[in-house]
Amino acid sequence: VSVAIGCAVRDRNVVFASTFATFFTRAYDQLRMAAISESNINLCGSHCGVSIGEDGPSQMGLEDLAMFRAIPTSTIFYPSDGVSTEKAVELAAITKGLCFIRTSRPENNIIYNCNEDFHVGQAKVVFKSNDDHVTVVGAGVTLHEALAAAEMLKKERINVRVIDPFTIKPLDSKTIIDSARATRGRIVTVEDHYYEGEK
Amino acid sequence: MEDYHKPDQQTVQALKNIANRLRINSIKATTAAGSGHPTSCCSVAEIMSVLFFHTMKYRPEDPRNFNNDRFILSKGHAVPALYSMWVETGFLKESDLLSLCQVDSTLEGHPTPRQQFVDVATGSLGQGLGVACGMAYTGKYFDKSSYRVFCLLGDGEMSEGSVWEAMSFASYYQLDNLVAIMDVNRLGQSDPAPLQHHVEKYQKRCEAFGWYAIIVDGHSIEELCKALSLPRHQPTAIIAKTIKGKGIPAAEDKLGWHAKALPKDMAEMVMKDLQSQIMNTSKHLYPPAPIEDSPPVSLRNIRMPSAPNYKPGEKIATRKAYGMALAKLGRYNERVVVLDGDTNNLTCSEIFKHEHPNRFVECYIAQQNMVSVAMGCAARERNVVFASTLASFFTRAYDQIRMAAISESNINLSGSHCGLSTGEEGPSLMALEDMAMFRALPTATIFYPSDGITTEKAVELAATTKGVCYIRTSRQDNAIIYNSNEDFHVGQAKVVFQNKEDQVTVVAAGVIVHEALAAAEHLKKERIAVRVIDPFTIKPLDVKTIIDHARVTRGRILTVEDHYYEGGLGEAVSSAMVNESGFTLHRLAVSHVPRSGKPHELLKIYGIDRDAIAQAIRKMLSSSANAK
Repeated sequence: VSVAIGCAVRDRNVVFASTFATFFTRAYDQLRMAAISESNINLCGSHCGVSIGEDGPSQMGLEDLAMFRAIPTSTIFYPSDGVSTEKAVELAAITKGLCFIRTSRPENNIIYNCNEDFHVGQAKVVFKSNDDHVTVVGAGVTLHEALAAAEMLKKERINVRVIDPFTIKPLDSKTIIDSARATRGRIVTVEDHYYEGEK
Repeated sequence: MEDYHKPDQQTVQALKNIANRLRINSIKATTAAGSGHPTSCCSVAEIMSVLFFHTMKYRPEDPRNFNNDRFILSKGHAVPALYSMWVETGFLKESDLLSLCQVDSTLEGHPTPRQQFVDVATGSLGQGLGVACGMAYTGKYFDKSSYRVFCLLGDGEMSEGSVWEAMSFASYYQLDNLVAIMDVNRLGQSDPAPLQHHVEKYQKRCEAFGWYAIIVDGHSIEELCKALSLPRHQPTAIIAKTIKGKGIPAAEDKLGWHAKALPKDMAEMVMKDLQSQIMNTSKHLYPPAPIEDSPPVSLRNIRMPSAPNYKPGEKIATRKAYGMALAKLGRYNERVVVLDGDTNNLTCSEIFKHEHPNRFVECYIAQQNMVSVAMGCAARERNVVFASTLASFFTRAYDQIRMAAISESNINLSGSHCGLSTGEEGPSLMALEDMAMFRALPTATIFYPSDGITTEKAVELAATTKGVCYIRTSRQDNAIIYNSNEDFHVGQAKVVFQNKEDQVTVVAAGVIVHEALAAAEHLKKERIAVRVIDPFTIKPLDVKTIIDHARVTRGRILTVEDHYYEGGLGEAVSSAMVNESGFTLHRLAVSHVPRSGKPHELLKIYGIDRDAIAQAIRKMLSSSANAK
């Protein structure tokens, strides 16, 4: 992380530094100081959450969202497919402050069109009907789980709306609240992360 | 000085057989799981065999016996090798190996303390040696006994700075009961390790750090037996030159095999080949018994001998109260030990140091190592451990703290100089994200005491509460607000100011609860009555008390904290209330990177002082009035 800060200094380079999401906890003091330094480094943590599987908890990122949310100047991208990941990389490169992109191990379907516009702080509604009963907010692997659940529930005549926040910070609370109002105030959030410190 | 007795040929053959069975078992287990690191296990086969059946003195039927030599697998991904050794001792069944990584198995992909023979979880690399230092320090200076500590590291993880922090600590404290074995198999995960097979470079580095370093052929049973038997007056590094994947011809010393389980037919062929190398021998090896000179220790009755001795109105900083509480706890409980990172005059752990110098461990400016050493000292319930530094510097050790939670460790950490109230030193020394950090840890308890009395109670409770405990202390003096005979419990908030017609419930802690009390007094003159609650512990949070009182104040709650908005007290209250209706929650916190200044000026600028609190309350009331 320190070398990344050094490479980015004086606007000499656009820098991306990556490792397993959970190992960024090893550098939390350096990340904290990066924000105080007004650095523009971009970080990518892979193998987030329990979805990494057999290697167990030492390798799972379950507190990284809490960690990056508490860093001022940070933007947190949590893309759910290949298209939004590419958009996240492009946006991170041009967004000031610390940018964190959280990626997953398992393969997942492409769910967006290549010409879809993405913005920091803009959520996407990825599944809806005219009469939705619950708003479900998921990201990464849990977005795909939510979509599968929505399909299952459709057969039981239960309609749910599924939202992909795209960025956890800043969070598009307007879209979530508007959607929740349409679904009688019911919201379910699902995340591959611990409860605490999250969205 | 003992003479070295060379093992006879039967013993050497038996040890070779154990090594090859380790290879077979590692391949069998990982192929069955479809996951794991067999090549990383193959390079340590002879090392493990010699350690477990020649060098270490321990009782295999009682892995956590406090007299046993200790072993830490810092390169945790080689865990099938560890499981294999415990199958050899009879502690595990061979059939258990086939359940590796399955969701209902106790044999996980990296070591966890679910197994009796694992003291601390590993898997995040570079942390085992620091823990081994804590165990060795305890053995030499606290237990004053004969057990030795062995730590097996990979060469890839030796790029971690934390390894070298531990190397410095070990030689500084002359931990001659500590042996580090370095499995220099040349290859890392995606690339070779930077020093590849240049074992002489590793040797020079270890010697530069004050260790005795010997290079051996890591696949030679004889060389390993000899190197591990010779006594030293310094910590010893055995630099073992090995081949990753040794015994798997297609993978030996080749890139691209890290974390790859062998496909079934390849596995069968290789195992057959290894089996043919196992020669019959009459020797049945059993580990030698440990020397039983370690004192039995019970941490059951750790408590303060008397109630806190502060008078109402007396002023003391919670950091000073922490130091005094430690010294008091240490007076009557001889297994309380305290660590600090060259900040003992700031955290006030110096008060303990002056009274109990033999139980104070200076860890210097190496916070990662300090946390690992703390875990090592706390392992096998040998000590109640407190480790302190400035709260902001615990971010340096977040990975170690995370692994402490996974290890089910009972360490107690105290961070001083929390928040803006640190003042002139500026943001680099201010902890504004520590509550978020500790809240995201399973097993953690977070104490945020507001005066001297609650600080002393927090220290006592932390000492007896399982899991990682964190005590957040402040720089400045504040008044005593409780009585000495008040009872305090984890997860129990206190109402510190209330009247009949309270209109808003204010929840605040530490320095800020004093600001809230001042605001409450001031508002009284404007005929605005507010109730003030001190949560005492942020995690677990006493949601019931807060909700009950907020109901009385027509659902109006204001949280105020010397911390960023994200992840702290306000979010804790907010997420606890998410399904309750009829509440209006406002939060005051620090919204961006602050600057240097006098503490009271900073509280004002960043909107968390008594005036900001009063103003927020007036606004809440006028908007409810408007709403009506």
